[in-house]
Amino acid sequence: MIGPTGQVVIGIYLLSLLLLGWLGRRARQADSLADFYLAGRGLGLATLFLSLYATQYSGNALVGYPATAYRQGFQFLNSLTFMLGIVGVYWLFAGRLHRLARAHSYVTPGDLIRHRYGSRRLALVLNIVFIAVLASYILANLKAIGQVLQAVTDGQVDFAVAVWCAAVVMVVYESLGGMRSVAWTDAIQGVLLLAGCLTIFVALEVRFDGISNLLTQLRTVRPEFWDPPGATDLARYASLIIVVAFGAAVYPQAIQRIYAARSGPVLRRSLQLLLVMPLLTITLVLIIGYAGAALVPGLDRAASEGITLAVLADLITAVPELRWMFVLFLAAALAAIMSTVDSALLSLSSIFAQDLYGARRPDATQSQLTRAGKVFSWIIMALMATLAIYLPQTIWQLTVIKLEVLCQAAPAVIAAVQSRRPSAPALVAGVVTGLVVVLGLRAAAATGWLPSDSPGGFESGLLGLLANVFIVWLVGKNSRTNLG
Amino acid sequence: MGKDGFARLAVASALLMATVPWWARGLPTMAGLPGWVVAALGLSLGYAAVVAWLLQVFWDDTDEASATLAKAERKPPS
Repeated sequence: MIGPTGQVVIGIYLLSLLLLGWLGRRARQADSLADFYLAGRGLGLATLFLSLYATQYSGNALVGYPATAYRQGFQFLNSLTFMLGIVGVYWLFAGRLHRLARAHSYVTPGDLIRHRYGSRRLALVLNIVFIAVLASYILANLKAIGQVLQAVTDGQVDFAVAVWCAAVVMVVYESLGGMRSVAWTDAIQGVLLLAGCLTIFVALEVRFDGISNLLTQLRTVRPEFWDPPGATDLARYASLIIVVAFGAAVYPQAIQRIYAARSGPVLRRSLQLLLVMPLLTITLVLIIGYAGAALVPGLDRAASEGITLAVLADLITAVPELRWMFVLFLAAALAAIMSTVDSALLSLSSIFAQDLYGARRPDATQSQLTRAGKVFSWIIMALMATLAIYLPQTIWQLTVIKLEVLCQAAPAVIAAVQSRRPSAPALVAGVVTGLVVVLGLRAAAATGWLPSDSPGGFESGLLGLLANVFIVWLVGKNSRTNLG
Repeated sequence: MGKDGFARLAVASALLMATVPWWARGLPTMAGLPGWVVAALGLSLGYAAVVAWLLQVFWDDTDEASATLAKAERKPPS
């Protein structure tokens, strides 16, 4: 789909990321964890905002969301709501968390828990959740890079070669400049993502001679989109909003960007700008999915996963001059995926350096801890790239741990910032209970004991979160009764 | 309206958004879209405006918030 010129453009894009890595290294001000992992707590408005944006919108936004919109119709409009909901959850704790992080030099989410609760056990449980989710995220997105590159080059670029190239580029620029390089590349990647979405939207507007004509055609082909949602759909709609809003708000890489903001007002303005992005991004990617439903109806689940490429192919067939859009789409998709992987990798590396290695080597200098984190980044990236290439699909699907697991950490993080009232043992019991519910439902569905891991349409993450909060309340209440 | 009032407004609009396919599914088609979809889009805009306002007005980076935080810091964790 993209010719040699397109491949050269993508090559130049990847080299520019390495250049930013080198510039990030040159901008280094100290050989410390805060300088490497939090850019010296100096991220300004544009970089912080674009970095938060690029980190939150992974490759899934360009590839997975249109596919889900293709299958679920207007019911996937809850994706617009949950992306807005994330900022609503930030409002609950981000301002105070930023102040705490500045006052007490936090680098990782574990620092917050240890400082506020003095509990290594709670920090360990949350770190296990964070590590599992981050590793799963890196693995899934590396696999996505290989699939996208292989598809748009018609197999000229091998899956394994694509995964290794992207992995090496990311780990190099991350090791060179840490958060500075990652945030700067995120900024470029955020602009590319937005440009990709807007361009495809404009092309669709021209292709259909107005979005109203797209709706007319869609209603003829997929009239079921206009049916009122059923009870199961309603449960899924609401529960997914809660799970994603709370889960994505406590991504370790997002928490670290709160730490890295130059000031409170900069963080506040970044979050306000972030409220605009679901309207500019999610609405547009949903329209890509609906255009796909109108143009290429009848695809099964597996085939619908390639609906974005199918829509692009249709646009280029209709208007051959738009061939360059494939290159822009590829750059935007790569940008979205890489910005998520590099941020997750940096966060994982910091958790290893500060919370695991640092805990065992209390006498280690900041320089030694930073070096240990960089070595860990290379090892984990090599491991993830190997797994992305060789893990059988059936096993890989089981490793995709998503926001339903991560949202179990939200009550502990928000409580640590706002009140410290539930005790650490109560929060540990809550997180463990939530995880047991989520993983138990997943295992029951995988082994055929249950038809789905979302009984009645309620996401397992929501059921886990309710159990989590109930246990926190129950254990906390009993503790107070015993003390009384 | 105080902070609690706005917080209630944010929670209410979040609940309205999360349940929109249920309470708005009887709405007639508008601009070629199901009524509940138009309601969901409108509420999303409203929610974004409310949260932007909350971030502007009630944000923990004032001197008062700093003093409250310092006071809370002196209390041992429960």
